[in-house]
Amino acid sequence: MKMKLHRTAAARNAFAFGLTFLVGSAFLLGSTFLVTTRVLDHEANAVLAAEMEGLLEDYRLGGSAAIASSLALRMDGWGRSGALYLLADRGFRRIAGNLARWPFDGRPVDRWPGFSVTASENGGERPHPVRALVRELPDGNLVLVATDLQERRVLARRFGAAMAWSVVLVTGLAAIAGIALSRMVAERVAGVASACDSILAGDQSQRLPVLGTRDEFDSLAGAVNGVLARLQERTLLLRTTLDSIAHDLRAPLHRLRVRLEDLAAQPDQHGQAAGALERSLRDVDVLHRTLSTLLEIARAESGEGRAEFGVVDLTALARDVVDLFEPVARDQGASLTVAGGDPIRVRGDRQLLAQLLSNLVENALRHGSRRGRIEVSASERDGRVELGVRDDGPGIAQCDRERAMQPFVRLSTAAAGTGSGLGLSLVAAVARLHGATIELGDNQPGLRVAVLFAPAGVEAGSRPAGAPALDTADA
Amino acid sequence: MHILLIEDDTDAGAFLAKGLREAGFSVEHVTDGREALFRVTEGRYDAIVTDRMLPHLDGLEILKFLRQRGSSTPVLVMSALGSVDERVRGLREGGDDYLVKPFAFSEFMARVEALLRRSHVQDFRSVLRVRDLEMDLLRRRVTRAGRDIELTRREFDLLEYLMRHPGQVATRSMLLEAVWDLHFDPQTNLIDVHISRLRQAVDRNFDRPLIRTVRGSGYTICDEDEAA
Repeated sequence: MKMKLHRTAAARNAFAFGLTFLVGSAFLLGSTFLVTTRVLDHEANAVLAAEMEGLLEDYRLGGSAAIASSLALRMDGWGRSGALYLLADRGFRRIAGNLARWPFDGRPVDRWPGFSVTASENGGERPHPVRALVRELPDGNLVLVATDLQERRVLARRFGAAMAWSVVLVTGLAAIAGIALSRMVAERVAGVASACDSILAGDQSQRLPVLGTRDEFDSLAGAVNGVLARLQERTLLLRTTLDSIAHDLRAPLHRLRVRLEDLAAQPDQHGQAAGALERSLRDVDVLHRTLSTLLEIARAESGEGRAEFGVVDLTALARDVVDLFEPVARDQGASLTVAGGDPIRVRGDRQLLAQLLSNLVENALRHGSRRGRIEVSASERDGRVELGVRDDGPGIAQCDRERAMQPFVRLSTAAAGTGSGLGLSLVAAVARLHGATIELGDNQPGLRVAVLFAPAGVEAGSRPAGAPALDTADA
Repeated sequence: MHILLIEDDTDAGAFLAKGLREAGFSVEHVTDGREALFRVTEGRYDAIVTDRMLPHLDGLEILKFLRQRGSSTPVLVMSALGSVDERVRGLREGGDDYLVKPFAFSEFMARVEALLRRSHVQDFRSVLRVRDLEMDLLRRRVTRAGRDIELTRREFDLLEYLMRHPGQVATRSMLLEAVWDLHFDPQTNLIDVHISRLRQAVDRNFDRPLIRTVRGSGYTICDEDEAA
């Protein structure tokens, strides 16, 4: 049994697994990224604040002139460190610093106003974002300290990219792990399923695979195998019991029949004795038939015989059974016909299915209306095969339908004294052996019996026709 | 005709042996599996009838042993094990027929006779004849005294079986097996009704009926010798 990967629980779990990893790692790395960029921002601000503090200290010592000379020093010492300075008068005109002119329109409102400068970089000119801090000096001049944010931005971008790749990588790995895991799980489950299939098909010696990995699957398989071994033992016991019953009852029945026949063959018979012998022989045959039916029911219920299943064409079988019963039906004035013509194949035992169908037809002939119409049909719809027998007799009341399937039950509508009361039980047992269910319904009027085969029991139409379930005895 | 009967049930075995002898066969009756194996190795028999559950071994073992030695002596397996798959096993191991106990002696006799008369040569005849009844197998046409007889497919099959075995008794279950390939016993006398229809077609307009009922056994079609 091959399952589609995306339908397995394992694959769904793997998907959920991957999704959880995606969300989790995105959240984790995203927040790390945010925190990191904020730290970088804070660091920039702290640098600006410290620079400003130094310049204000200079001012306190020597006024704007001290600042101007300090700026010259700083610009020299720091070189291209990305630090920008400007000392401007109240008209925003440059007094000192490495900025050519006042970058804002008047006094900036923000505490950390931003602007951009054009910097030469790798031989080209590029605008760099800059963050500034502006203070007004007591003499009315303005001092501006700014720092180039470009490097931090680049750093943050690289960091962000690395984070995004990490998320992708983690999710990808989780998905791959998930798929591998689900493959493994699906494979093991498929192994179990195929073992179960062959067990259901009748191979009771089949066991679930144990790989020696000592995982949950192994312990599950071990436990199930224990149950299977027990079941096989039971079946064997049941089989030997049935064989013993068959032997222990049939052998004396055989001797009884032999003696009765021997007596009946003696020439010195009184008429009365001869009649009694004749009736006794008939009773032996009735006993034999009932016993055989019971044994057949028991054997079918035990699930044995599935190993011998072959391909049976239900349409051909319906035709065989119908033409066997047709003359009897005609003598009763009833019509017995087959509907449908295409071969419909199931896995099964032809003899048992023939017996099932014969019992249903016999029932219909016995309980259907006089001069009634009986129709046998084999049909297939949506992969489900139905073997049906319909009559137009009195039918079986809804409340009696379940009881009708039980052994030895004769419904009050049944003609008194006919039938063993085992017919439908055998039908039910044979159906169960074939994984089929029986449905008793209303044919309006009459009884509709449907034997519904599960799709698993239906044979795909690819096999060559005419392969009977059993070897036929050459006659 | 020499028959080996392997049956541990002395009562039943004695009855079968007596019946076979009355029918003119010479019978060796053994009750033990090992003894049976020995006889099978030493003796020459026209047919062997064996039970399945014997002391020391299954009758099928004897059958298997016989077939491994390349013997094609016809074997009838009798058994109290009557399920469908047991029957299949019996035939698979090389049995020629399988009879479930209890059975009527007439059924047993008819099957033994059928085994003894079974030809190992393929029957290639395309026309079967019993007195003035003629069956053309290729054209699926039946005539009696030159007159066409209309038969359904199953009536044709039934008649073919009878005509292939003229003078032999065919029991109801033998006909059911041969014509319908069904190995169970329907409760209704289905075969009787089929035969009566066949008779309508074959015998109605003629003075001498060909299909005869053998009381308590089954049916036969008369050949030349029995007609007298």
